[in-house]
Amino acid sequence: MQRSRVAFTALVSVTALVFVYLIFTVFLRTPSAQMEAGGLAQKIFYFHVPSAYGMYIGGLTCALASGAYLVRATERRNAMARAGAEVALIFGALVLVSGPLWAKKAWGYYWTWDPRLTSLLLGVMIYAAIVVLRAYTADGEAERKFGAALGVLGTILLPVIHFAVRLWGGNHPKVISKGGGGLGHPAMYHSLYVGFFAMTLLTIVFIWLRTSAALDVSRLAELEEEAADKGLL
Amino acid sequence: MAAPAPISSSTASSEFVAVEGGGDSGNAGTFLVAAYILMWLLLMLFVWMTFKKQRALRERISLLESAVAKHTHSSDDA
Repeated sequence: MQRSRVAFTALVSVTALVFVYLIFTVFLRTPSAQMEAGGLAQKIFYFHVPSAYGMYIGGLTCALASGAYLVRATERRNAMARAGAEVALIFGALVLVSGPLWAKKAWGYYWTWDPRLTSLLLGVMIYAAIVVLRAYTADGEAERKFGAALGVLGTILLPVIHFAVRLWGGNHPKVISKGGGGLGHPAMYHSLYVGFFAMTLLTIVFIWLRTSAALDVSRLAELEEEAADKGLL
Repeated sequence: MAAPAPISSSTASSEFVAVEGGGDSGNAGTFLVAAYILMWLLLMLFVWMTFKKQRALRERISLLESAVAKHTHSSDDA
């Protein structure tokens, strides 16, 4: 328990330091892009894309833990599946908040029903459905299994989101993926890679935190049952 | 308000060209700052909600644990 707490504190400290460095490098060392890409607003890119990557990690965690739970149900797998969906939702929300503000500057409007944007919105809504389902229904075996099945099925959408631009085109730029023109300065790549690293660390911190909270929910349910059996509740 | 003219995939940026010394073009800085503030607010809200939830859960768990333990001891004594 003590070792786990030390490891978590170390992880949070490293994450905070990497974020400080990310902010420094994005704002002070990375040049702006051309006006068509939003000019100074293009710097949203160094948080926006890594946030989408964080959503993928959360979604993948949710799918793997959900699949494992369906094979053999354990408290930890259930907790990780729940945490993965919550983390995918928060990172999806970050993408949905930052993207339209950048789009307004680069494209002239906040939102359009482009394949990438639409599929992303759908993906976030699926994770929101899992989170709401798990939060506002009983924590029985049937609800857990339904949530796990939704977690596995919902994650099938992630590759669709990722390849939407390549498959169907649309407004969304494909700068760093196959067929894209890339970034025009080494500092741009550096900031992007630091962004990916920072968001990966933050995703791990959040999954750790929310798994711990979900395990506490299960422990509380067990205790309440025990207390009720003893006539204490 | 007129509907925005769609940008075709051929005109959307497919590469980001560095503009050295490029300052704030129009209101680009406002969008950048707004995005960063909103993102950090969302993250802080998520962390705060997580800690608030976990503190409440742990308080309830320790309360129940001590009640169950007290009940078990009193049953053993009887």
